[in-house]
Amino acid sequence: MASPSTLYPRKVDLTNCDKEPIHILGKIQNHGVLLSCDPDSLKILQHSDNAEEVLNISSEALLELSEIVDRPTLDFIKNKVDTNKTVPLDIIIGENTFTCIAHSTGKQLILELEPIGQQIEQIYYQQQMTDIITELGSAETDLEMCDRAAHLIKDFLEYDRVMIYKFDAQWNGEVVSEAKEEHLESWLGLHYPASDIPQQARKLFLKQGVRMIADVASDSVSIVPELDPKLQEPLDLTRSELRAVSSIHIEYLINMKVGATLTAAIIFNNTLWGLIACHHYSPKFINYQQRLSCKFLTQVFSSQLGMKSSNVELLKINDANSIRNTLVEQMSREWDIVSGLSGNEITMLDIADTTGGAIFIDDVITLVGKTPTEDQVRALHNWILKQNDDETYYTECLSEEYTAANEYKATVSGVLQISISKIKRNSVLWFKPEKKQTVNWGGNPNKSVLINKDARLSPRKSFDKWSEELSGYSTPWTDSEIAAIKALKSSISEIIVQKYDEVQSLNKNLEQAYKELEAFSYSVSHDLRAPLRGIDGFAQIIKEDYFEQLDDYGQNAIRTIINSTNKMNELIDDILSFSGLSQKRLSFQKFSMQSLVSDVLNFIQPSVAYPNAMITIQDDLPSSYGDTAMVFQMLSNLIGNALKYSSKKEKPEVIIGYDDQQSAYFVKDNGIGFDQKHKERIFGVFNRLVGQEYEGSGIGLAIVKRAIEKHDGAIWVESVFNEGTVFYFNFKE
Amino acid sequence: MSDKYILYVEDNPSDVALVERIFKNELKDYQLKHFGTGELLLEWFASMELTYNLPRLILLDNKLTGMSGLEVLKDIRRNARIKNIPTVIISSSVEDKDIQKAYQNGANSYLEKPKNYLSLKNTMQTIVNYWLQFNKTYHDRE
Repeated sequence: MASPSTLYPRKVDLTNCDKEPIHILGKIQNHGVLLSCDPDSLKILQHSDNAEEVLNISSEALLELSEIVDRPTLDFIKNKVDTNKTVPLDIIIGENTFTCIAHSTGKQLILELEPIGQQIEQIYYQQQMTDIITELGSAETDLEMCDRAAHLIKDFLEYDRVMIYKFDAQWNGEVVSEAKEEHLESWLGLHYPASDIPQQARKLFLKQGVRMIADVASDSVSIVPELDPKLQEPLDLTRSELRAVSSIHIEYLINMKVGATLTAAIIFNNTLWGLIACHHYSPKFINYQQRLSCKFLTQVFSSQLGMKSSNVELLKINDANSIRNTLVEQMSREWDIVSGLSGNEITMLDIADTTGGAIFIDDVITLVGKTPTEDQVRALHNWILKQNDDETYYTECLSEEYTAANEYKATVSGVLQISISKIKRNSVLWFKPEKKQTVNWGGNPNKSVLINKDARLSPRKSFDKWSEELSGYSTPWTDSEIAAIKALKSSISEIIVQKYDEVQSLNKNLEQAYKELEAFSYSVSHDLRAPLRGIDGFAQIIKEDYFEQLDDYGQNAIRTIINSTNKMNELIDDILSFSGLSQKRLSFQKFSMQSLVSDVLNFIQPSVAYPNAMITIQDDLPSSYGDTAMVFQMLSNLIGNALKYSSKKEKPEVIIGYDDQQSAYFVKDNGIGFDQKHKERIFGVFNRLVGQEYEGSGIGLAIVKRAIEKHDGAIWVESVFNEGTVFYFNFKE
Repeated sequence: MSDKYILYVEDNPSDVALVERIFKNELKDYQLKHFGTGELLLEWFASMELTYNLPRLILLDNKLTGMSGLEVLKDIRRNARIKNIPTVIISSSVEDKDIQKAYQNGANSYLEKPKNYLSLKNTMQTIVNYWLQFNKTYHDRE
């Protein structure tokens, strides 16, 4: 997976430059003198070639440090100097005063002597510092703080141009603030490819903080002898103030027509955030005291900038948290992940800087905001799941990894996907649109390296703006966005678990309620018997004792009452057997279907009610396993129905058999049939498809279905209107 | 009271009316004595001094207000004087466990309450016929 991926793709890099050993070049800039001494004997081992001339001393004096500096200074240096640089000493050699900066490499003691330069009054200097810090602190945004820093440093150090230069994740830089002399062309907004400040230079910045090149055009001075006489290795100039500049960098600066530079590293969280780059168009020397001030200012600036960024990040995290809480509340309130994320004013899109999204739950897709078509999103989701095994996938340039995304890169260039359940392929996706952006390069980054005829690298010569439109990229996914979305994911998972528990307990309650309902209908039906017997009984008494006294209407009324009570008694019978099914304790056993069917026919006695019917029972019905009483009840309903609904045909036919292909028993008739669209409804309670000409309560098939369910079996029906019906059923083994 | 009399415990007035009518019209040779609750039946037995001329049959509805039919039956079977009177439970329940309990408590027969008047009439005729004509009753005569 790409971390915020290469925003400025380039194939060529100044790899030579990256490898140039700039800390052991063996040269220094010519505005100062370097002496390397043995830390114990204080014998001078190496010195810059300009030492005799600048210090105005003899070559003999260059053998012993004690020949050059006085005793107290010598003691001070010997005792106090370690790898950290000491407070600079002003020392007088001959008629000149120098600033002496001493440090230890661990192997040698290095003294660097610089011109003392312009001295600032202590009081005035402190006042200046205080003003600068106050002004920086009152900036409201980090950009404003950069602007102020640029101007303050320009005023303080009086360079022609001061730039604040910010690195992206690939170490390409952008000029985010600039303070300059009016006549200069603005470089604000320019981008510089990573190769302009090579990796090892960035490393040195982390160690050194402030780096000055006093005169770009001057020749550098060699250190003699080239190697340390004892160790036979070049002197390590990592911490040297005077260290010379790599020739490639000099060429680069000359191309820019820059005469002197000062660069300070902006560091927070141990990372190089950017640089304060000061350019002067003629040589410019800043003394060590001022450089230290600049370093101090940069540190203040860095830490304030860090605090500001942390605050901004913190605010974002707070916002995302409150959005997440709202989403979680919506999801739990509605018991619905999808509508909780997408159905309210606050949606999942608000948790990050996104414009579209999609939710996949149990293979149902829900699109939110601006998205490609449903099919495209499905295909994308499949691709992500196939590609990526992690819980999270994100990219800011989808089309680079997934070519199909070229079709909709305007809507979706950035994608972030989280898996809620890998197994169920449940995911949530967020989309960011393409961010059309124009990048002004300081020179064409694709031509940053020119290969000379003699095959030596030389940095670019053109610093004209170069515009490049980046296509297929969204703004990057920030750490806080990713964290917020991951936090949301774990909330969703919790809700799903809760929801599952809730459903389980609802199911239990439902089961209980269903049982109670059945017990209730059982007892109600039962209790109806007594009053019904009363109605019937007294109607019978009227019929026996007073029938002759009634007119036709009255007699008919009595008959109707008696008939109705009979029908009601049958209805009660059916309801009782239906609701009784769940209350019966089942006893499963192997039984012969063949003989059970015969028993049912003996019970029904079809020859009495349906003398015309021809009933066929196929031989060799396979035996089965179940509760025989219940199967008996079920069969009598099915066979009873078959006889009833074929009774008005000229030659009623009923066949009971087993269909090998369907692996099911069947009861087939040539009766009235029904429209196939009712093939589900027909099994419902009180659903009757026929009128009064056929008797029945509408419960028979519900009883059959219930009995089949009790056996974990299946029942289905095929019917043709007016031609007949086949019921198939089987039991789970 | 004739020596062919039957006790009938039932709390539903319309059932009582129907059964009384059946006896009046179809079973004229027999006398029916009705009690609205089991308690009334047991009180009546307690007040009776005779040890002979006991009722020939008790028809006992199971679902009663107050004592249930089965509780009444248990009491009857504990009372040496009357414990041998044939007792038939008439119940609307046909559940196995109800039937089993009835017999365990000493019922001589268990009938499902007929659903309509005609079958009630048939049932009454058959049962009275059986218990009073064919069945030979246990006698404790010394």
